[in-house]
Amino acid sequence: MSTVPVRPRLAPAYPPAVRDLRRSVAGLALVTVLVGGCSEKQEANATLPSTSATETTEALPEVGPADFPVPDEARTKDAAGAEAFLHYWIDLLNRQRAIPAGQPLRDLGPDCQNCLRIAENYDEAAAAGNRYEGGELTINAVAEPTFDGDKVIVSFGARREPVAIVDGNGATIDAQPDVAPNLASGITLAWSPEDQAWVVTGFDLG
Amino acid sequence: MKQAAIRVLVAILGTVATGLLTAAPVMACEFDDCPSPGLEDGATTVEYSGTDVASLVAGTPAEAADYVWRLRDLCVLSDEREGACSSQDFRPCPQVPDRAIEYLAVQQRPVVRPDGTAVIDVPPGFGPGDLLGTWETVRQGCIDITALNPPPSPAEVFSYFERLPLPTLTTQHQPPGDGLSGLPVIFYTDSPTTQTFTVDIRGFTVVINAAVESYTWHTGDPSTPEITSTDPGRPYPDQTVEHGYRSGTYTANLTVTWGATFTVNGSAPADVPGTTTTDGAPVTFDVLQARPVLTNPYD
Repeated sequence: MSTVPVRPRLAPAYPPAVRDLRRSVAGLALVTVLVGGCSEKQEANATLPSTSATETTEALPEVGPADFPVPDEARTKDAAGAEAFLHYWIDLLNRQRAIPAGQPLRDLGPDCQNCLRIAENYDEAAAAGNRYEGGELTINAVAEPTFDGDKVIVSFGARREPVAIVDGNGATIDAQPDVAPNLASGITLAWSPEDQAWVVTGFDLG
Repeated sequence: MKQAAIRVLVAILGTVATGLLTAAPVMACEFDDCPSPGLEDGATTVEYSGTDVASLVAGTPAEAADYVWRLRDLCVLSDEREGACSSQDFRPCPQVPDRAIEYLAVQQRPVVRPDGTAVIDVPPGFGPGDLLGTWETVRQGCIDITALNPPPSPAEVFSYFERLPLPTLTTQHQPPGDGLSGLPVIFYTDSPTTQTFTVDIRGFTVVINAAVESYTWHTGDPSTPEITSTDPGRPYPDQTVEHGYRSGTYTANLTVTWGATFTVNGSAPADVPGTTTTDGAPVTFDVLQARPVLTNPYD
């Protein structure tokens, strides 16, 4: 189980609708969420999602943490899928920093130099009994993904809130006390046909 | 974007011999985004960036304008990935006098051109000079970076260290003259075991402090050809190195292994990555068989 709930919820970098979709694990639950959140007067759909639709969703091998999987929208080999994955990735970073735990970043970016560095930082912080306070990332603007074969590059601007590493007693060990309003950033993704998912091969903030 | 090459100097703790090296805290970045590294004191240049680098490694003027470029030490890349680097990250390059040649990874990253365009799509709000995409390693190998005027690398200093006129240590033995079988021969040296050299390497003042790390005493006796010690030995009665011979004629000499530390323009000292040896002049002596003879002192 994740230890995230003991900390304040982070502002998601991912659109709420997509995040909700990610959390749905069955067609019935998905219908309940969507119908329950509908503000317009509509007739409730009395039927469950079609069997074929459910089977299509479940046919995709799970990618990402079990309780925070990569959403289906981020698993299409097109520009929309790449951008959706970028949003998911930023959400994942915020989630893992708050724990802290780096393994999900390694799993999704096994050959990504900076991903491994960040993952190492999170794991070292956890091993030392330290934690990150702040540092949440939000996306300001995203460029059109640029495709190069099975690879896609997405440039984006990101805001990083002030961040500090504190020890078990709450003492600050190191900090970036100023907000970074618009880090010129980028992510490079490669398509994995086996997993039907994007894999991070490069990631740079600023 | 910096116009001049940035030299990031960090002290590397440990030695290649230990198998793992740990980078000093100066290069650690514990956050998701890392500030541009500044000039730090130390002994190893691990990254070069700036327009000088672009001029050096970009294939065409267009590539120099479309990307920012940097050169990174393999140890840094491994350290980022795994928290340590191994001996495999230290790849030798041919050392040419007055040239700085290092094994480095060449990386590039798209940048917004002065006219606002770029090789890839630009996010809204980005302007000339803003970085795009991610750093990509385009190649790695031995690169002549003399044009970047880097401080001497440890490998470069070692190439000088190997050619320094280090002293040869003279072997002293006791008893002086001939030895006696059954009475161990004592070896020691009273020659200096440290030496400081100041050399100019491409305009940098490099001070090399050499010191003997180990002593190998060649006894000349096939039954025990070598005795190794970490001290220079001492004369009787505080001897630490000695060897018992049978009667005969023997030639002994001393080989010492030198290690060193170095500083560049007064920087913190760092280890020279390697050792060198000097052979002392041989000494020849006889070992005689003592035989008791009864005599009458009053004769």
